[in-house]
Amino acid sequence: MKHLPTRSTVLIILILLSLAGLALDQNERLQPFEDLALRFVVPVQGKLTSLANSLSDLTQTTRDLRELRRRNEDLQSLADSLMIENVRLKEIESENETLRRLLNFTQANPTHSYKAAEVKGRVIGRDPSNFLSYLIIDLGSQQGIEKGMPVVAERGLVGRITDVGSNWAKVMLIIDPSSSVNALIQSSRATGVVEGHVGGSLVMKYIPQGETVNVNDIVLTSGLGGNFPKKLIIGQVTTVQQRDIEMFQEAHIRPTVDFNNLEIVLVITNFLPADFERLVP
Amino acid sequence: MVPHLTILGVKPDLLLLVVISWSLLRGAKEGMIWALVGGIGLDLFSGAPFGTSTVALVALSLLAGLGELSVFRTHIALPLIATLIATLAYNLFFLLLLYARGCSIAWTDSLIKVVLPSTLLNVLLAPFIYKALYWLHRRTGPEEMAW
Repeated sequence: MKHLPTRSTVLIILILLSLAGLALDQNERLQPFEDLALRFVVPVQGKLTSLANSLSDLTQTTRDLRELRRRNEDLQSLADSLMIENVRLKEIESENETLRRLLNFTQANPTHSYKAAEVKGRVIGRDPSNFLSYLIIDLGSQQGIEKGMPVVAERGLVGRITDVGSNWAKVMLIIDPSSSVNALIQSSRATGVVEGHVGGSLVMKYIPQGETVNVNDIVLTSGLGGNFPKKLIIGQVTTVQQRDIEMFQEAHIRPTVDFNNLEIVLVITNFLPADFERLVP
Repeated sequence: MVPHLTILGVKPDLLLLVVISWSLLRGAKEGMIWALVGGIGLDLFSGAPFGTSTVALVALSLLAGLGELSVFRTHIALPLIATLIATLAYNLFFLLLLYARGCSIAWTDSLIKVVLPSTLLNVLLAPFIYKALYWLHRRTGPEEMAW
């Protein structure tokens, strides 16, 4: 019967081999064997290391991806809230700018004593028709608004109140075909009547012949007729029509107010138009 | 919102287009209901005397309702022609109303700046409104016999 080597015998052999290896290594006798073994092992080891690194990178990438997704969600949420905040601030800035211009307007026109009487109304509707030019503002009889009160913006005359409800009022713009405003040319003091036309244009009629009217002249309210206060800016002359055979001259006016972009207007509450009906016996 | 929607310098008369299309599809009776409700809505926001838009739209829905009986009811030319006539009549009605109120009307300017652009715009929009309402009519109306 053949005897198999016991575990302790194997151990002793391995220790002896290790000691022999150490002794041979000290004398550099093992170098050729070592060299031969490593020549085959190094490339395999290189591949294995690269594979291990790739696997490690993959797990890291997955972790990074999860982290990036979380951070992206956080940043997106932050960007959304900043955008909403930005829109809100821009609106506040725009409103602030409008109110500042209105304040400048009232300070530049102290003769109308706006301070005590001014009321700010927000434009909440426009006339749906192509022929009429009306606005609806969110002020009414509850705020002391009455029919006939003039309405202005920071750039000049807007119109006048024609209908009043409890918390709304309709404003007939000066460009409405039914509107007419007594006016004068600032430089020559020539008087006339500014009428609105279909399509949103303004024409100053009944300017006496002989009066000097030039392009770019400023047109103001004259206060005649008692419908509007004096010296409110209406617009600027763009063209003049003067024919010797006619009694009066006509001038086309470009309004200073941009009626399409009105947001806030002022109602002059301390001015009421003259009521001539009461004078008639 | 519509008063802010300006194309070619004019606002489209969307309610007029709806009233005309519906009257062509379902007759004057139903068109008049749209005209009445929509017209009152327009009058509330308008500076014109109350009832102006309502009266004009009801009258036009009555006329357009005659088209319901036409054999060309499903032809695209019918809403185009009806819109063309209705827009001209609607604009003329408003101009005459302003004239009656004592406004000085620059007729040529009104024609060039308002009447022609708004007619063109309404005619361009009419097929889309008619198509949309035709779909609604097919979904809600009585079954029609197919030829």
